[in-house]
Amino acid sequence: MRKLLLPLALIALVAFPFVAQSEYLLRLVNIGIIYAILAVSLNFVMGAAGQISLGHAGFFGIGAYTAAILTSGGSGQLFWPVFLLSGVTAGIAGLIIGVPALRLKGHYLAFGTLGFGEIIRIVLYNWREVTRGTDGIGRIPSPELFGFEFDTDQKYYFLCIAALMMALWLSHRTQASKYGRGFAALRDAELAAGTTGVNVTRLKILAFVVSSIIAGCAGSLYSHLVGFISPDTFTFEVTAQVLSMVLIGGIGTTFGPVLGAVFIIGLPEVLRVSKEYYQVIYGAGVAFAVLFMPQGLLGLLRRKTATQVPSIADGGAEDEISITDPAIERLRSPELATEAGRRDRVMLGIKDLTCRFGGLVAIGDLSMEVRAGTIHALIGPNGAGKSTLINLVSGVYARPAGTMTFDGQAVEENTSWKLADLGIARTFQNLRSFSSLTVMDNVLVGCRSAKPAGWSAVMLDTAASKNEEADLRATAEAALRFVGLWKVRDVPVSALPHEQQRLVEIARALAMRPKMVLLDEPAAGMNPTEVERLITYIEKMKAIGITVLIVEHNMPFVMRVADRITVLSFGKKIADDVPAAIRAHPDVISAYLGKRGVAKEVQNAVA
Amino acid sequence: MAQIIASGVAMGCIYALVGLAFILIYNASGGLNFAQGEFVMLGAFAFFTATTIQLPYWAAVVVSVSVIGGLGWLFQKFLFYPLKDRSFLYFVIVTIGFSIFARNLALIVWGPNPLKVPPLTSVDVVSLGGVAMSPENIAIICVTACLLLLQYLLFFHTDLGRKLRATAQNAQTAQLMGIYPRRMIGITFIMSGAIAGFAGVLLAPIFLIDTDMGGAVLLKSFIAVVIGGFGSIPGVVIGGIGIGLIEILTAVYVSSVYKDAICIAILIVFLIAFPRGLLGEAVKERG
Repeated sequence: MRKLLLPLALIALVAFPFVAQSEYLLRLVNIGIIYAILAVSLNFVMGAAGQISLGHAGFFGIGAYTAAILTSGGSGQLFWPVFLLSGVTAGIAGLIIGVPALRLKGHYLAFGTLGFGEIIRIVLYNWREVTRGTDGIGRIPSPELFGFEFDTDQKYYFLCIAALMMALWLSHRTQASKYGRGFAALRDAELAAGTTGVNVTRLKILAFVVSSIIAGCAGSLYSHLVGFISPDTFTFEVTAQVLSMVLIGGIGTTFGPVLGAVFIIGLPEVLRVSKEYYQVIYGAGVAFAVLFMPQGLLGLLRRKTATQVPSIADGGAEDEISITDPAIERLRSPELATEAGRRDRVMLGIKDLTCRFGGLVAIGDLSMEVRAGTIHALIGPNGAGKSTLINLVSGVYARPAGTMTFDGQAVEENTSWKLADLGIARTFQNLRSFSSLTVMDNVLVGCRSAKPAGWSAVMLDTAASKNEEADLRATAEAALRFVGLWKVRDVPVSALPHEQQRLVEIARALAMRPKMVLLDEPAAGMNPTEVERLITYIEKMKAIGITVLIVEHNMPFVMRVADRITVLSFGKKIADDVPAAIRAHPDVISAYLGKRGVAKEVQNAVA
Repeated sequence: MAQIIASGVAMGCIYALVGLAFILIYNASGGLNFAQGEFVMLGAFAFFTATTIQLPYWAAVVVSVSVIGGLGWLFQKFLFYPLKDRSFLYFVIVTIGFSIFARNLALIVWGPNPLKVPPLTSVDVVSLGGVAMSPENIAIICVTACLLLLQYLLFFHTDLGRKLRATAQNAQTAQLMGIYPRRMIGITFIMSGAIAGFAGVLLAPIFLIDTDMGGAVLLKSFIAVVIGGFGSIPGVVIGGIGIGLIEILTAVYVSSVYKDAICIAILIVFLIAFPRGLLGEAVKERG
């Protein structure tokens, strides 16, 4: 039955313009398709990458005016090059908006893009020499190919459908690829995306540029369809309309925006009432649709099944790989494999690091070293600056003063994904999973291939792209088997219990083939059995040569795993020694228990 | 010159009031109300109807402000509350839907022709220390000052104010302390509606009342909100008056065509260079 569905739908699409007799209906459908393309483009930046744009009327307008200005009164053959050019000019506008938009989040971005849309509208109205202001631009020719003119709505329909198919295919391929996973990571947890090696800046700009190119092409199609354009068409109303299409259809889905366009364009035709009443019903209809269809139209159609989480009662031991398994090499940085013997070199060196928040000195003139291949613990009372240090080392905060070396190299980079590329991976104190993805996809975000396939290869799904994907999946499998989570790979990560979500973060870090892993309070919220399991994983990491830096409050756990401990208090290092010596260190005791702390109590506390 | 500045300040006060109405909802619930301008428009229309049925001036003011305040409560109950746990975008699109609905309903009820209400007094100009001002502008400035003072007293000198602030900062903890957040958010929406309605009443005598007046005011109020710093009440007052002055000075000395473009350019400059605005809180993600 499902196999028949696709051919039937295709036949219906092709047959439609021959069956539909009324010009009015065909024009409406063509406009609807153009709006659907626009909705797909908005969904690309908003649904996939999680970046809000309230300025899509602007990109649409730029595309439409590029086409109108260049072809007005000219030949229909001009359509083809100008169609591409419309995409390019809108894409350039997307780049111009995308770069400053990197600094803006949430509602600030909403206002910034809203302002952009308004500026474009004002320019269209007032730059009369080029846009002819309110008079508009007419005599835009119908497209022509080898003497065939797309001069009726019936012929134009095929042009529109082809463009929609391309937009959908682009959006679908992106969501199914590594780019789609990167976008989802960016949308769900931007900080964690960065520390997992996703180039956040590049992906955000990519999202804006691709989206605006599609919107610009839609604008060109619109110009050639209606033949006359004026600034009135490119107001905030268009943006609002397209936004409601995306939300009503189903944000983040491939076909949702198209369904939304059908709904919004089709609604008034079904109701057939006078113009004012139509607007009233349209406004109320949009509000009601959003209120009563939380998942959008597509969510209504989709069958709802409960998530089945396979039980891993034995802690996943049966699927777990040991460190002698050849697959473990997929997790070991190639550089570690060759230099494994030289365990005693300095992996992370910090000198005179200082970090202030306003007047508060979180870290003051801190110098410390972490030796390669060791498990190094960082302890100290709350507010000692431990998490700040992890954030500085992993690039979540920019390092204001002080130097850092990593594996013998001075580190200049400040962005989290560049530090991730150097081989620094981390987990977070508060879970930062990519909550809309499965366990497997979470880990895949961390995987990098030695031979990455480019954008066009991925879009065309070439052999190189397929090989890369297989390579990434093998690495992700090794990482998941390392922590015994292979059984739950296809479960949405948010369905897992707390401990397993923490292990997913560890697997995600391991999949990056790091030289060093920073664990920020990994045992928080775990019961003793789970802590035992965690200890075996940490010791396995050490066994394959990964350096581990742990921030932790669970003292028995720290004393058991750590080779060396650094103690911070109020941003200063007060001790740095082996566990036995730290236990007896007078400064440490007074930092934890106050000046009158008795050594015996500490003994009890850490025992 | 002094007259120009006075009317700029008066217009700025309107932007500040609408921005304030917008910020109250944002602070209390995180919702961005794109229909705030329609509350202003409906306030003006309600005031028009109240004056045409021969209500005394003060009664007309009271009636229209209460009606729009009540509308704010309904808005909260039926449009905001069901969406409170979803992305802010859903509430945005619902408010846009409501604004289309309200504008066209007003078109059906009051017709397409711009309406006028009788002036505040029969006096055309009042001279205040050598500056000639229209009584309407004086009313706008005085009412704004009074409303702000009332706000301040309510928020910082009453028990209700403390509860409202607590809910705005952390609704969940407030609930644990025995505050009913839903009631507090309801009160905020009523206040927000009443303030926006008041702005409409104040605008009615100096503007032509039509269905598009809300959108024009709202855009400037957004700019005021961003200049002042998202969420800051003193900031939005400064931002509102600032944008009112910039607008009128540009219109008089540069070109009235580009006054909107310049205002939006200021918005974008602030967003990019000073996203925290003049008095805003730090924008950061907690680790």
